[in-house]
Amino acid sequence: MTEATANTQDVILDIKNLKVNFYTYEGVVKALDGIDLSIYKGESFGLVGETGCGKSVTVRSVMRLIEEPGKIVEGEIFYKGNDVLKLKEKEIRKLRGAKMTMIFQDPMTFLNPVIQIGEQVSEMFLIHQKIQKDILDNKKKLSKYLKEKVVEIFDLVKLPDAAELFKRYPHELSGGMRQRVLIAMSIAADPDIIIADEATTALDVTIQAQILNLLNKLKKDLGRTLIFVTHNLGIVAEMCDRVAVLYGGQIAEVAETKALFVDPIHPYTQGLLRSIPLLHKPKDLLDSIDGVVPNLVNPPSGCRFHPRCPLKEDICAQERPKLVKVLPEHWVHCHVKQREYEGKV
Amino acid sequence: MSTSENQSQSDISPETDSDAENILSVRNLVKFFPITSGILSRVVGHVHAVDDVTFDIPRGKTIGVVGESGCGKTTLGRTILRLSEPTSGEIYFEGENIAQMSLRRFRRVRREMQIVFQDPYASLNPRMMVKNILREPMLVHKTMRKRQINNYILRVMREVGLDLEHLNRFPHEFSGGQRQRVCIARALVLNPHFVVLDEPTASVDVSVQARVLNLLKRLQQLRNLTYMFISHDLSVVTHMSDVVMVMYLGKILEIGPKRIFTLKSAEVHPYTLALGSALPIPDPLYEKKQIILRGDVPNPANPPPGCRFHTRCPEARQICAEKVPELKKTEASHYISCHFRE
Amino acid sequence: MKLREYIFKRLILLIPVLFGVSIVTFILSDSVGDPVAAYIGTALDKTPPERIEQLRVQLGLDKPILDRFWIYLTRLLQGDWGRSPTLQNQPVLEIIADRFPASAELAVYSMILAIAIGVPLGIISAIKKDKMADQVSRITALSGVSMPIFWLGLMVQIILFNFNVFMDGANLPFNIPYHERLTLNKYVVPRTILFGNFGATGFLLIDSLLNFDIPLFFDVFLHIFAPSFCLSWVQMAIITRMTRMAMLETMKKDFILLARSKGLTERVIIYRHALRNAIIPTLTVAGLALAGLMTGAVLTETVFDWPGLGWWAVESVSVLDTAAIQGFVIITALIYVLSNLAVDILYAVVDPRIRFD
Repeated sequence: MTEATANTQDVILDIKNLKVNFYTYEGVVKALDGIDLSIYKGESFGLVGETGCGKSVTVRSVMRLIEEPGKIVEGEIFYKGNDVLKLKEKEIRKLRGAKMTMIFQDPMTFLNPVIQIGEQVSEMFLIHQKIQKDILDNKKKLSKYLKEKVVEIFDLVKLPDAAELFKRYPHELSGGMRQRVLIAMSIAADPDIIIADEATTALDVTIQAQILNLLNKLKKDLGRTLIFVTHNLGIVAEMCDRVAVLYGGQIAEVAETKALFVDPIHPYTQGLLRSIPLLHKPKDLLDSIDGVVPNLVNPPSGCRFHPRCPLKEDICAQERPKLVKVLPEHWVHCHVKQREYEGKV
Repeated sequence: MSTSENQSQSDISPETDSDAENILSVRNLVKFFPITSGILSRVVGHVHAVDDVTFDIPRGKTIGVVGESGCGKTTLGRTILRLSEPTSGEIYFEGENIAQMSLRRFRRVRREMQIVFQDPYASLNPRMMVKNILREPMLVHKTMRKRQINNYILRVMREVGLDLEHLNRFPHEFSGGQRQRVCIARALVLNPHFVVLDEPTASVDVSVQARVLNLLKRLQQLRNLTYMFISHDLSVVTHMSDVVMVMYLGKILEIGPKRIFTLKSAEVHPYTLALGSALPIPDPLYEKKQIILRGDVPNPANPPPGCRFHTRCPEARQICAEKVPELKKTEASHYISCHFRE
Repeated sequence: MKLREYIFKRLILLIPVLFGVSIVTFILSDSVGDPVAAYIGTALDKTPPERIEQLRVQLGLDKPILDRFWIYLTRLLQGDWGRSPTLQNQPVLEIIADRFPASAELAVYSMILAIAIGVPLGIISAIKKDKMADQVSRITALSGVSMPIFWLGLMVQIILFNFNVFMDGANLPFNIPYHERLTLNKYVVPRTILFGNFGATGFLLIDSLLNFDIPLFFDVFLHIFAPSFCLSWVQMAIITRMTRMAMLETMKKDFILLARSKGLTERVIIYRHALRNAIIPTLTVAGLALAGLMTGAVLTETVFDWPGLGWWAVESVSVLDTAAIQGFVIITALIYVLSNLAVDILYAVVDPRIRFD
């Protein structure tokens, strides 16, 4: 909880009733079922959930990167007052990479294996930065200029021997270094929003610590909005100001990090937190959530968590709850809990 | 963290003489993989996957093996079961050295030692029904009469939390967690005494992981199993293990009680300390010291001389690059391989 | 930096391979048919037995097998590859030197044509998947693989014949020919010793240019047009489908998603990011197909009277001309090994992940 989020609360990204379907052979996968989310300027926001909960689909929708057979069927995503979903392809391309960037999960598959790293990073400067005409027209000057820029950004992400790395190919680097290259690429054009989509999942724990440390430093120095998409609750607890927990394409709970981990309200969040082993608080057996993750071709009616929910009532299967503010900065998507907390705001 | 825990540890010292207590004793185990080059496949080097490793596993306990990729934890598990032949060293299982045993004799021992792999999908034959998957090892090892087999399979299915109706299904019809249950059942049908669990929950979600871990703990009590639990996830290993072993580039850096990742810096190996501090803890109230190691894990084909960890160690000094530290006892059932921990 | 070392190593490997091939060809000649019969030809019945025996001694057929192999090998190394009765008892090596360039020239130009059309067609097909352009390219490609080439060749000849008749009235300075490599008795083929007087590569298009013989170049160009059109159609079809498949596969890759998230235009994504990856399998196929064509596209050469290796090889098989078969097998092996090497090197140039060690 930094002051920036507590006081100003300038909304930089406002997602309203976002619905995304994937049209597969098995049927229509209703991946996102009305996501409402506001992300404040300058905060680190975490999106957590298990496989298939829709966290990646949400952020990819923000950048309009949903590919076949997926389709955004409903909703609005406002970035600085403009609905991203209504932008023309040409306009959205000006946002991608320049205003919003994404750091992907597996740095091996996300870097082009046959193009030199320097070239891949310099593309960012080439397309998103105004370069003086005399440099742009002179091939030699341009490559020198781009190389300088790339080396500069490599230094910023603490990549050693930046000048030498320029001509390397992705497979010649270690996993940690590749991830740094992806980060370099994502901050190259000085974006407003940086989305880290499971950015450290493929890394070993000591390398993950290095990368998280780097991201923290960059956030402090650059003051950008960071969105962490992850299944790792530890990363959320350490990196984020606020968190949204997703379940089956719906948002279960949104709260400030401390509130969410200390006093979770939604039964799913509670179950999830109890099911992870803690290094510093050992216990003999873990609590678990009964049942299985729903099949989103044929999702449960109403609240999608209701078949597994210990607090289930009749209304949960009949009517979908709204995401309601039950405490200051704390929203919950649950009929039972909303009734319990009524009037407390 | 209670103090009662470290008393329950049995001695796993390399120089222990209470062999009856240990189901498995590994002595100077080495596993190198040759690196070949050129048209004539000349051997130009070795990957030091497991490099002179010595430890004991007490019966009925769980030993956790942690380390980053390339540390040799998976190879260690497979070499102990001779799924991969050891280069040298001894492996005593229930008193017998199985490392040099003939394969025919080893077959009898093999059914006492089983393994559950990380990816349940890849380790189950997609064309076999669950009942055949479970029946096969029993038919191969002829542990039971055919009539008894079916009854026994049902019992094991119940134990791992699968239903009768699952018997006639194929692996792809299961969820990740159920598939891992099938793998566990397959390992259990031969009534093993010792099971290697190689990242058994790495491919499932946390809520499923909790149930698999609980199941494993329950089965251990029920059948008095000994586990070797291999994982890169420190909190899962800590949760499951009685004894934790930290590996780095084929060497054991530390064997200690399960709480080593939360111990004070002077009491544990610098690498253990760094691991513990690197793990993000899902508890905003928990304060911890941050240690960021520099650089990457070196290539196991070309490990650094002296202490394997010295290139990244914040406390490294001259001697670390020159001399390989021994695994020394620092207190009861706690062993550290470091020049500066006594 | 390691590339040169690698090429050298691979070239050294040629020696055992060719030695092996020479053993195979030797055994082949020794076990198939009677060499004397082939030597004498149809006159066998009228030849007295003493003469046959004399021939056996003369040809060294009475010696033990190892001796014969040794003699065979030394002759090969000395450049004496025997004579081919199929072509008026000319020396085999001379025939190869004469005919190989014809096959190779046809093969290379056809392949260039096939790639130049096939790759762009494949890309368009992939981008416009299941749209009109894709369907058109699919039909083009399908027609390429399903038309037998001898039929296609005949059709082209018929069309050209009619075209020439039709164009006669237009008083064009040329006809489009469909036989041979050039108009015989009209042009002097530059056939000097290699590199003397600009030399002769055997590739007539190049040779004519090197000798500044523009009319000859024009004539050769017209001659090669029809057969290379037919030959390249089939290859083009394969390359188109291959490129399309590889492009579709590549466009699904993670790094394409990253490229999109960077805000790159679709054009840059396709031509800079995807094509470099997708071209790799296409190159392999094209490279190996080229090797096959180099040793003679039998049907095409037959239809268009092309004086290449293919026609000669088939003919020599039918009359059991062992010297010719041996020579042909050796040259085929050589070409295949060399083109495999070329493909491997090309691979490494396009794909930096491949290393030579």
